[in-house]
Amino acid sequence: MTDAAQERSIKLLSSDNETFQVPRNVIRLSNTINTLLQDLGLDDEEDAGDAIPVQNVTSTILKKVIAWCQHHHEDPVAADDSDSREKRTDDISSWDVEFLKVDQGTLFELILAANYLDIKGLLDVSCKTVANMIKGKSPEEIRRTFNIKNDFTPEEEEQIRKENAWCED
Amino acid sequence: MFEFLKLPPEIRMMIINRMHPVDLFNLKKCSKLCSEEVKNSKNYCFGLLWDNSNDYFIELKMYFFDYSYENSIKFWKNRNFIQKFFARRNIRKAQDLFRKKLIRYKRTVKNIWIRGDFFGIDEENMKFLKLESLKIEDLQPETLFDVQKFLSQTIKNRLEALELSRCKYLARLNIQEIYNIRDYLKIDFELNPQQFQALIAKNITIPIGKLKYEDIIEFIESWRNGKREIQKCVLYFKEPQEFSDVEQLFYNIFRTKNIRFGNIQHKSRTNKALSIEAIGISDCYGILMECDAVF
Repeated sequence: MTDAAQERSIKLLSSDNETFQVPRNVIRLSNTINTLLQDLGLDDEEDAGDAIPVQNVTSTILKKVIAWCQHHHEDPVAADDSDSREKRTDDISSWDVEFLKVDQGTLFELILAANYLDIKGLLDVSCKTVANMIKGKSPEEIRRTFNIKNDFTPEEEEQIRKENAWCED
Repeated sequence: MFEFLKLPPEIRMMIINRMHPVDLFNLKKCSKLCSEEVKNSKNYCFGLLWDNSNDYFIELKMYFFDYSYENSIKFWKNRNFIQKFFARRNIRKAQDLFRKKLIRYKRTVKNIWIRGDFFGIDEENMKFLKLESLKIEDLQPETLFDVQKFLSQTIKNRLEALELSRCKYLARLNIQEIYNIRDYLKIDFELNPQQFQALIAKNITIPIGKLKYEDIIEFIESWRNGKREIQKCVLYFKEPQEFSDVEQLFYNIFRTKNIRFGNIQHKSRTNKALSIEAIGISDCYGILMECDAVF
């Protein structure tokens, strides 16, 4: 990407037809957008033309995603050490902790948007947030929190209980 | 509403892979799909291995648990657990002990655990890390055999390194102090001899104790590898000894405690030390091949 390309903006169109002007060097955190621009040969163009439709991402969520990218676009590129990175859930920055203090529906949408736009950092930190939400909860509490229906038969439940007997209280 | 099961499977797996094993067990109980996905996650090899409930799998589990998670290491420290397990080779007792400790662990640090990291790990622990990421389906019988061999050898090396380099210090301690040091060492298994020396010098006074007959039995019982025999036993004495009496004493103890051995061979003796080696043992792969006692 040339310097000129970094300085320019591109337009993103949310699923509810709201347009967002985003600096190119901010949205570079989205691999999906990067690939799209490269495939269309627009990466070095002065004017990327029409807004890029971001399907399935509402303006509310897209605004949040852009805010996250805005805050993190100058972060150093993380080493590709996904195995050790994912082993910690206590390394969420205080800014991200505050950023992700949202209702569950928004968190759910943010994860989907991060996945769709392929923004690894946002996806990682939001998955860790969900893992932290599960931490220390009983099965019933997890079901309640995440709307999971218990579809075990009594026999299956007993089998699971036996499998886990060694760590039961 | 956060509909966990409506997330794409690959995202659910990302979340699951960021969870602690203790929480995985709870998620596993939520629904069939959760159970299936937890079982397919890379961290779950712990539970699955444990579920197989034989000592072999438990060995893997214990060590993964011990070395893989920072808090698990904190959890185990001072508890001498693994040594007890290996010394007794009593699976049910080991399970009970583990369960009780885990319950206590859950009570005390339930909400403050952090996922372990591998800061400052050595090459050996890197191997553990690689093993940890194996999924159960990767663990073919021959792989399992290799893993077992690797673990046994690694553990043996670790303990031998500890024992042999510290033998001269241990010889000056009484049995309880030896145990204390072992417990102590659980905190930092990687202490080098110099660090160990510093530890001894700084923290431990060394009154030389006199052991009773019962202490010898307890000592042997605690160090023997269950049905696997003590292979070699080095005894240190405060005063010069008439060794024929001592040998007879140990022979009797071995016999009465049903410790099977082929022959006793006097490997070496001075007027204050006696090394007894039991030979003719074919299946002894145990980690505690040597034991040292002070009388």
